[in-house]
Amino acid sequence: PVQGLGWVHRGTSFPALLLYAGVLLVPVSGYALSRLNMRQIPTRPRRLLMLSGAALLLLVASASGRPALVLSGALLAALIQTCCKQAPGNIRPALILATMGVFLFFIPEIVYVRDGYDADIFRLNTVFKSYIQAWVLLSLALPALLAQWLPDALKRRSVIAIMVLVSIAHPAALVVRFDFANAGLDGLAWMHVEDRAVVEYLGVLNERAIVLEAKGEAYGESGRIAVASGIPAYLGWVNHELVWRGGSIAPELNRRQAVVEKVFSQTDPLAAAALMQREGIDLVVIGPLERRLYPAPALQTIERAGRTAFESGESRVIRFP
Amino acid sequence: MKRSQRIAAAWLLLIAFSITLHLWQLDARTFHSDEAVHAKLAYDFAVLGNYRYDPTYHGPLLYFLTAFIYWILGDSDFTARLGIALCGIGMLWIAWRIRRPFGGSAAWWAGLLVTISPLSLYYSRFLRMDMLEMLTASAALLGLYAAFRWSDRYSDWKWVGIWGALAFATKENAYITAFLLVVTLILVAFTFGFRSYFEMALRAARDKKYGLAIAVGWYIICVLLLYTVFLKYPDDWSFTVRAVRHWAYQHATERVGGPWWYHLLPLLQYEFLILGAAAAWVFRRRQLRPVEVGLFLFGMASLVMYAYLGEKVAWLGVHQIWAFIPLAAAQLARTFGPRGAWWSRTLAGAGLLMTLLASLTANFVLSEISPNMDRVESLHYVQTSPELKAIVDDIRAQSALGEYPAAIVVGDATWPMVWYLRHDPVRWSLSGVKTRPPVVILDPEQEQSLCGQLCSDSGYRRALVPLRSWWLPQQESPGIYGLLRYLVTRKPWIEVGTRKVLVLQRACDARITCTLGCCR
Repeated sequence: PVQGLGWVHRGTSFPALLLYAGVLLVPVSGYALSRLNMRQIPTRPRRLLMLSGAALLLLVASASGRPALVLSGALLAALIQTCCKQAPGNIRPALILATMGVFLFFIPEIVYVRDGYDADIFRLNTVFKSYIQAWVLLSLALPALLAQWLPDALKRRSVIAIMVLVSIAHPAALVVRFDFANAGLDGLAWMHVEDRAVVEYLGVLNERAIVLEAKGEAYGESGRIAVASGIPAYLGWVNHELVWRGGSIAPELNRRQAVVEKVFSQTDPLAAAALMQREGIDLVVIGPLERRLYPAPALQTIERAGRTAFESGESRVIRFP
Repeated sequence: MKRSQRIAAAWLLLIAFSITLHLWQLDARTFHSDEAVHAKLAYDFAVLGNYRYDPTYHGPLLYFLTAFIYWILGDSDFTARLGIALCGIGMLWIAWRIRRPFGGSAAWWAGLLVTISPLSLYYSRFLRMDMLEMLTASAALLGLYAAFRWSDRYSDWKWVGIWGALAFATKENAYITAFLLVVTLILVAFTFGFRSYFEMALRAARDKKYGLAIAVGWYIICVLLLYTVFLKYPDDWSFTVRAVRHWAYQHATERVGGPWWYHLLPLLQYEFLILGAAAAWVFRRRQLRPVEVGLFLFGMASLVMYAYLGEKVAWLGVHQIWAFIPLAAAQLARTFGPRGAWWSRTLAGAGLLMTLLASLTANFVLSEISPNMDRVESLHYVQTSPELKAIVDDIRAQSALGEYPAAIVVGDATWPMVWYLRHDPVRWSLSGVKTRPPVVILDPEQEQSLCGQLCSDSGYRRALVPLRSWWLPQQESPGIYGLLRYLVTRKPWIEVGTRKVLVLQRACDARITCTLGCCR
């Protein structure tokens, strides 16, 4: 859960910001520059003013050690100025969207939302949640801004073509990594055939139940049955529970981890059954993952302690009343 | 043939000649340890994206340039040196630009001089940043001169700023050049009347204030982007302080010291034509223009400055001759022009021939230095010995056969081996050695640390191989005979010094042929 706000002491590196959002921020910057409205200044002083401004901005960005903050802040200021002072009515909605988008790139450089993550990735959630929205807002605003900035269709299309070409690296990199041999829309095709059968059985169970399966690290196979079937897990991904619920949940998580270890190392069927009843566990899955991680005698103890409700190959769903 | 066609043909021939001299067998000579460091840093930049400014290895521009070439053409000994070779060829563009104020003929002669100059050619085929500095600083100074004298457009001042930034992003000699420029301007003012020149300078600065500000603006933008690697390392914005502090310390401690006359010997030996012709132009003219006086004073100030500076290394000679080149070119243009005397042409022709001979010898015939060679070029100073290449080939052959690791390399041989063996599986440490690699290279003093692991193993052949060799002529006076003999035959009057490394090669494997003669 949210644990308050913190000041950012280490921001986004500028090349990283350009890599992620340069395709949007550069055209927006071009638009903002074009709106500075310096036409009344003679050519030579105007060029000098712009050059001096750019040099000074770069110097401040470097010397501050926070170039992403300084440059996004400068862009934000320019957009706000344009929005408030110069924008005709029909462009103002797009300008507001663009300003909000740039704001969402700017604000994670100043504050972040505290959560359970450590010092190395302290801004992770703030950044990716903020940046995703910023991308959407800027993408919506850019067509209108480009139309005003580049009334010449050829120039505008050239800029758009460059933006598309630059952006294509992201989807192209994904496509290159596709496993076309296993292409399809079945999101559970990766599952072991026995696990798949267990999931299909559990998926049509019309009852409130808690399922216990092997414990493991996040982003791995642990929690697979609960995720695929919809039956709540006794214990899923521990770190995610900590992030979502906060540090106060840690004692309960530690307790449940110990219970899972105890269940999968039990040799007394009566003790195992008592443990399930005390913890409110209705179903235990013994599948390929459990057979790989836990000793066979413990798994046999669980089978003797309960009743086999479903089997597929060597996999079992053991029910406890 | 029309005059314009003759001029075009002359320049095309010169360009072809320059390209040939700069690119022919560019990768033949063994890599100096400095070259290996620069090549490897640029390789890491190109492949891993890792580069951060360190004043020890000078400015970032060389690494950007070389990494870009690797990215386009792949990494090899040839492409590593290609960027600098192109700078050497690019000096012809500088020569072309001095048509105004020196005239077309002098410009062509300047192009020829910079092409055949032994120092310029050698260091155009050497992966150091001195020729890159010469190119960028020349472009900046020429641009500044042109902008003040006859061209005041925004684009001209922009390029003054950009070239100036590239010069400062190349090597710290740019600070010395800037200082010498100020000193020269003051000396020129004194020569032609200080008060009037001072007032003229103030008027010019006032009139060109927009241009100067444009140049400064572009300079700031370019140096900041280069030194911070496009703001990846914003802390490096204070590169000036770090650079000056680092090199002031090197000067004070005389890390590589020498006597004040250190540079005079190679300059007189190799660049007698440029220095002699420049002196002839300056001292035989009744009246010199301010730009000519300025170039001469700048050149003399450079000689004094580099004689004073504590760091004495051979490549600094490049920074001392460049101001004399336009003056020498002007003299040669006159000598070989309609008003040249026969004796002057004979003398200049002999000088050109001797310079070309010296340049070809130093770059192609005696391009390496080794205790096993009886002739040596003083220009080469310190160089990796060519005997090391045979070891590199052996290790690569072992790597191709699947040996893992193909070698262990520790001690002084690390550079240039890190560059040569960048694609081969090599261990760079002796600790925890459990294998018997085909080749082990280490300092002779480290042999004892191998005992119990390899040295008592009769399966290894042992050889001392020259790693680095040097010839420092200033260490002993040769006498007239020794000096003359050296100038004619290149036979040194003192021995070539060398640092050897111990090379252990595993007993013959029937699959490969060793080049150190261990296989029958």
